[in-house]
Amino acid sequence: MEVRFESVTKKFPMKKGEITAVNRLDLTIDSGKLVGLLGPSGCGKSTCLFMIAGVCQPTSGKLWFDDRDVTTLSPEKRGVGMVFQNYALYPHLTVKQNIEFPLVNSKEIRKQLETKLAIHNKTGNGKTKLKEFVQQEVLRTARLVEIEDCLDRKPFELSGGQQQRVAIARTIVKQPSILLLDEPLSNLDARLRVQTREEIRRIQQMTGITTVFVTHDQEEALNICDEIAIMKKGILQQFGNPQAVYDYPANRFTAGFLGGTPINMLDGEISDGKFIAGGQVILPDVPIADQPVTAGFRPENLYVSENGTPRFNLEVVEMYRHGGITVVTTKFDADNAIRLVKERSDNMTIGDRLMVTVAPGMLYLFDSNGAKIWQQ
Amino acid sequence: MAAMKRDRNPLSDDRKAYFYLLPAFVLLVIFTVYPVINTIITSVKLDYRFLTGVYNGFSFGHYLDILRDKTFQRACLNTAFIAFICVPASLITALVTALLLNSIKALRNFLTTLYYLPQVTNIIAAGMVFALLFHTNSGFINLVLGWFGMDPVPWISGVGIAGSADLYTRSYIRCLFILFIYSLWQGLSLKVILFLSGLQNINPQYRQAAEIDGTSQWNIFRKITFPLLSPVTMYVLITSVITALKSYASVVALFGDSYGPIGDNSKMMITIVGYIIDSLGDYLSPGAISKASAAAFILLLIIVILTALQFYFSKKWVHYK
Repeated sequence: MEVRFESVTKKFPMKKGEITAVNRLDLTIDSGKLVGLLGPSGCGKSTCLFMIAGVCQPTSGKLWFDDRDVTTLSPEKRGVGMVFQNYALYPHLTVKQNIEFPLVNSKEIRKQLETKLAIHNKTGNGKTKLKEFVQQEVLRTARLVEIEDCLDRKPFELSGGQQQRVAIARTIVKQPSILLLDEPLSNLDARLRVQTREEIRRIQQMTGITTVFVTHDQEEALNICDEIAIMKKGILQQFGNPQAVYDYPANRFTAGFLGGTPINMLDGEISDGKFIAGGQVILPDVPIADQPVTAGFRPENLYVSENGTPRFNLEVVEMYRHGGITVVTTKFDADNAIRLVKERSDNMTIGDRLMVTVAPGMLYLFDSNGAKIWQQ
Repeated sequence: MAAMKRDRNPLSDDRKAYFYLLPAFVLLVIFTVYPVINTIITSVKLDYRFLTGVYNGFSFGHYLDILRDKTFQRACLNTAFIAFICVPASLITALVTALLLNSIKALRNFLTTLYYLPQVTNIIAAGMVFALLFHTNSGFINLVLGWFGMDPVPWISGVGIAGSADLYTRSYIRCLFILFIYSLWQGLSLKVILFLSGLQNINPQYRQAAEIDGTSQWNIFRKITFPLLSPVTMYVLITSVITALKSYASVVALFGDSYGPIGDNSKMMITIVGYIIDSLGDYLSPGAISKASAAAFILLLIIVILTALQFYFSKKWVHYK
């Protein structure tokens, strides 16, 4: 199902005045896609999720599921499933009771189940009772997320990863048309996080459910999402394919937000069509008007070369090995450091001087407002 | 070094702990263990005279006398009324009130304070105010009833009840009603506070998750809120029942130290503790103290058995995790 925000604004009343959590958001999430909402804390991403779920309603604007206006529709009528950050598994119920909870407690879902059961019995000539059918559905879902061995345990007896999978099972057992995940991996350890995010991707692809995934962790989003939406202070900054957003940031914020090793930012100015920083001409031929600008380029897009444009003359001051990569910190001038990411650094030592250039097309210039005005 | 010292002399640490526990332990023995044992022994002494300490051997006669005593039976009935009618009613009212308070934001603190007021009000004073409210000629309740054209109700009145079983029953029911209202109001305060804090400890995401799944409000309460609140409910139930079984001040405040309306000489509204205190008041007659002791021990047994039963059945409905 397609989800469409149409100029949606959400304000929360505070003790003094109000706070705008989401500001005139226009966003279309295509059917069957896995979309990540990304941004720092307080950027409004969770609020978007809660609005899709119907837990809170927009102050203004409209929310559409396909052609249906759901702006003010109550949560239970939306057919939405949601996995909470801390899973919200009912602690007094067993895993099985948790998973079957939506099936036995919602009138809407019960009706759907009865219809499905009727078809099932007609085609299969069987006489399955509703109760058995519910159990079959629970078991089928438990197998999908691979927790069928823990059905009789209570949530507190499970590991974090298992709890996470129970939460997903409880959400997808009712076959929602939209699956919402609120920071689903933040309570897991690093290894489990990688495993679970691939699990989520697998389940999403198997079921084909439109999935919206909220995270503040850019690596998570870049790894599993079809599309990402980056938000800041309630305003959508950029939306698109993760790699495209990564390579073609719309502004200084998205450029800085994405990237394992922070992007290099170099303040300078445009003068007579030249980009000058630290007293050196970095780029000789830039077709924009004179103004102060900031150049941005990613550490992994830098490589050593004697004759490239732009060309930086750098001095190695620090080297850190992070697992498979090495982060090399260099001095450009007294105020500016530039970092490079290298797979190998055998031939470098501290104090070396390097000539470095940026991969073609991978240097961005931002104006004083942070908007991207040029990409090489 | 510190760890090595401890290893060398583990007993000295134990002794220290016992030493620190000693004051509490001594007080417990003097004021709880010894009195209980002494009460049991006193309760079986025959013709025991409190002032001289003289008695004629041992007997369980007091227990039989008490159980046959009409006044004690009435005391049991009244105490049971408070414990099994008033307490559940006030428990349910408190839970509903707490749920309502929990669902509002505005005025919550103000209303919570209002509900807590009975807790800081003197029981005797509050009881006397209640007695005034229900006064036949000048009471507020009858005033209000008068606005609707109703005749004044003789709420706490014993006129003619000695000679008429019918009038006695009516008077008794009216007194029970007043006691019910009073207990409800009095008991609400602490229960509301406890339930409210219990409710606020429940993660709101459980409710949100259930709402998204299309669960009705009633089912959310029945299947999520109530089970998660059950440890608090259990605590409130046990402490309220114990408090109710020990009721005394409330009936004295409402109905005076003859436990009934003027004109009644049957101690209509007496409770078990009232019965014990009346027996103690008669301490000069031989055996009175023993009778009081026996009644006190019976009360202790009732409390222990009821509490044990509640704990036993709680396994079925209380979820601690």
